[in-house]
Amino acid sequence: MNRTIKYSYQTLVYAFLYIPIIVIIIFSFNDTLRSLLWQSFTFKWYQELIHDTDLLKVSWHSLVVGVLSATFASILGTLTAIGLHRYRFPGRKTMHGLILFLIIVPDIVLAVALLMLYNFFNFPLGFWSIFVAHTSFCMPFVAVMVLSRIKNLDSELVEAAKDLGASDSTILRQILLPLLLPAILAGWLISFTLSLDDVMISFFVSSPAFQILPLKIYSMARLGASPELNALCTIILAITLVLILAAHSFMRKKSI
Amino acid sequence: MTAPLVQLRSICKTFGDHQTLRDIDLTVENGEFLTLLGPSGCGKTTLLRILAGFVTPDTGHVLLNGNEITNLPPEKRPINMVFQNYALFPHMNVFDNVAFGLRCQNIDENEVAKRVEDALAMVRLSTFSHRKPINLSGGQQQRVAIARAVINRPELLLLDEPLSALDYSLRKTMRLELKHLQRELGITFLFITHDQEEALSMSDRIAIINNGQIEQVDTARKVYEEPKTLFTAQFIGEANIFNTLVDEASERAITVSIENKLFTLQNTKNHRKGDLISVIIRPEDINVWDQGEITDSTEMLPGVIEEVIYKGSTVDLMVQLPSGFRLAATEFFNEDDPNLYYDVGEKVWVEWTLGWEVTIPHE
Amino acid sequence: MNDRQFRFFTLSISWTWLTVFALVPTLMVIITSFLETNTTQNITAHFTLENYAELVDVAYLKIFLRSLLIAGSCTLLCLIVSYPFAYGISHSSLRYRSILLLLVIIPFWTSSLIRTYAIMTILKTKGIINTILLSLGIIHQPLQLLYTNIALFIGLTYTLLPFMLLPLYANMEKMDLTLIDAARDLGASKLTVLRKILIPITMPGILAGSMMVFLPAMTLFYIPNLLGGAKSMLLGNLIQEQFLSANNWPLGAASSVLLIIFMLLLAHWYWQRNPDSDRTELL
Repeated sequence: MNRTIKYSYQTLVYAFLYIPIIVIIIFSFNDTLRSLLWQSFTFKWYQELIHDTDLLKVSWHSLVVGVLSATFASILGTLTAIGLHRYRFPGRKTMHGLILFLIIVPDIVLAVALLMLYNFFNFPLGFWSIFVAHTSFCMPFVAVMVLSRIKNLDSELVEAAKDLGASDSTILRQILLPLLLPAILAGWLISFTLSLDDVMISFFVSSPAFQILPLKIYSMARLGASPELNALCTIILAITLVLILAAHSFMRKKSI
Repeated sequence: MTAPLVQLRSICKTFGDHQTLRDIDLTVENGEFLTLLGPSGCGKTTLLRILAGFVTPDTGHVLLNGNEITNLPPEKRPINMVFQNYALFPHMNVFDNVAFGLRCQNIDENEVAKRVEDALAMVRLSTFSHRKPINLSGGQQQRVAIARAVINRPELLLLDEPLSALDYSLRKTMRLELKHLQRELGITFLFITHDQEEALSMSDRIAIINNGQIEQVDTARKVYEEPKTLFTAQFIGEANIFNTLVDEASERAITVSIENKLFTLQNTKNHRKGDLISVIIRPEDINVWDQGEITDSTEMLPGVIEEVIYKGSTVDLMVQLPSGFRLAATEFFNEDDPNLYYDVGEKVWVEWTLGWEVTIPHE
Repeated sequence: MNDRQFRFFTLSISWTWLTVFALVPTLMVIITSFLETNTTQNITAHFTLENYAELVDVAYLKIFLRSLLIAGSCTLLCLIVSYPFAYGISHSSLRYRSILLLLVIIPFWTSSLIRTYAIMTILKTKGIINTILLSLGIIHQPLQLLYTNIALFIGLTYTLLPFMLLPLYANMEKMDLTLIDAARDLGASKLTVLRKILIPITMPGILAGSMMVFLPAMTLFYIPNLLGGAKSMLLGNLIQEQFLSANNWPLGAASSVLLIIFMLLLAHWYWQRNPDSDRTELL
């Protein structure tokens, strides 16, 4: 009895989490414009997406921004994590606090802050403003993921390498980077996902001249649900799923 | 005359407000197996880390072959270390782990291969060179750690409680193996442990450390038989300690009263009349007699058996003396006395072989 | 590169980026909140407390209270739904646990915009809920669900639920189950176990989850924009409006400062109880 309640409750919560998503996936293949009734299977809406040149351009923008900002965020985040862990310097606590602040602060505050910065220095809104913003909000995630990895590494490993005659740069190349690589890659994947999904910050720091995918989806969604949008969301869901699964398996790996 | 391998001169180290090491002087001779023995928190690990170069002492000097190395970083010292949890690089196989030190010196890869194979053969792991550390047993990981540490042919090998992660029977095998390896390599070993059995069974000399200070440095036998301090006597083996005043003293002998009986003991430490001293008697030096067996009890103490613990080849007894003092005694089974048998509550006479006790000034 | 140069290089890169793109902009927000507004240039360099005075004005105060109420009740609902669920999966058999956990992690990282859109398709006039209710004969006219407060509330709960689930799970997984057995063994009732053992031990998870639900619930402006009616403004929408249409930046900045204060209060409360925690167990 108790078990039945437990399992049905769990099923119910999972259903609540997944049914809406599954519905848009199913209806992205439904050959009807408005009705909820199932007509017949079609790829029509996907074909329309492919022929939407504006959408393709926007997707390309998102891909470029995503790859570049995820890469920069990974480099910056890794260096920051290593710095925080290995060195004792004045302001170290402030730096750690700043990283945590950036993670928990509501996105809208960061958006407003960056908008003010750009405005103050007359920095034009467009590719660069979005790239910098995405790098900024992804970097703390990488830093925190890598930091937790370093903390779990046996500190004796670095000492053992030193004891055997390795210099700092040898230690970084041969010990730290190989052992941290799974966390860095996971951080990259999560950063890319965050960049692909961000509406809050991009909404403030973009201009009509350089649009990216999440903003496009947002403006389409404001007009109401549509089968094309179902198809577009399905594609992004698929990409996200792959990225999350990859990140998840990297985080569980000991080394590569 | 050549300088000893390592000399530590008045080393002090304080962490926060805790004085971890106080004025340590220690000499390590070339080729010996020296053990630093002490309870956890006594400062022995800090001392080892000072030798490895991970910690710089606040004051004092570290000399290697007579040359000052106090401020030399760990990667520049011809000293290597076997870490407590081995610290094998998890992403490298056995071969690459062992080769790490050689590759840091940019040694020719053919030479590396040859030396690594030799090292692995020495620890009997030649067939495991392509395994990752995670796929090795604890004992095998231990041997890789040793091979990796000796590959650079260090002048001194530091071993930080390397046996503590192994189970009991493996620990006993590894003791012999380590001792054997040390002779074969001819490298000086500095071993730290809190396990007195380990220290006694392997070391040429033992340095007893307590509370940041060295209590005694001697051979295993001397440390046990002639402890210089109360701490050493109590930390190594068991000891019965009677605190008493010296009633009479001559150059050769002293008279003390123990449990209201007078005993004449050898005066080995220049005790004088009126000194407060501690008389240390090991449990195995004590004989316990059935009251019926004894006719002359002048140099014996009366007691009551309080506890009997059967240990196989020995029996451990706890005997309560009239003053309430609880005396530990260990009796050996032997063929002369097949009926060695004690009852709780039984009245007995106890004695010890006079001259086997150790006296030290009271602390 | 030698060790010193490497250290300098690493630290200066991190510091430069964090200073220019995090510290300075945040300070700019705080400073701007004390400056006067100006229709042409957004900001005039005159110190004033006017913006904060304006925030306690009736119209804005209503938005605050509404945000607090909606975000607070959404947080509570998420907590009530998540607590037994997270407890269940954190102590399910090891064989299934990783897959059950993964099923929570996926929505955690999935775009909340897309998930908001998904709930929108469910709630629309010709959506699943109306169709089912109509075909069952419970209603005869489709209900207007979308663009109401109910839709907003459902949407916020749906979108933010994973942010409560995961911290709770991470916390509960570490808990020693024998503590509960020990309490029961000593004669505690189920309710006592919950009040005296479970809740105190899982408090870090509860606080972390609440923080991750409460703050976004007030600020994710696109959820009210997509699901709520014309008047369903929350704090996030207010800030968005001040910056992007009303052009009253100082007022928007003051609202943001208020948000930061909220956040710091919650974070302070959290770290006071868990001085050595980090938020890295989320993946």
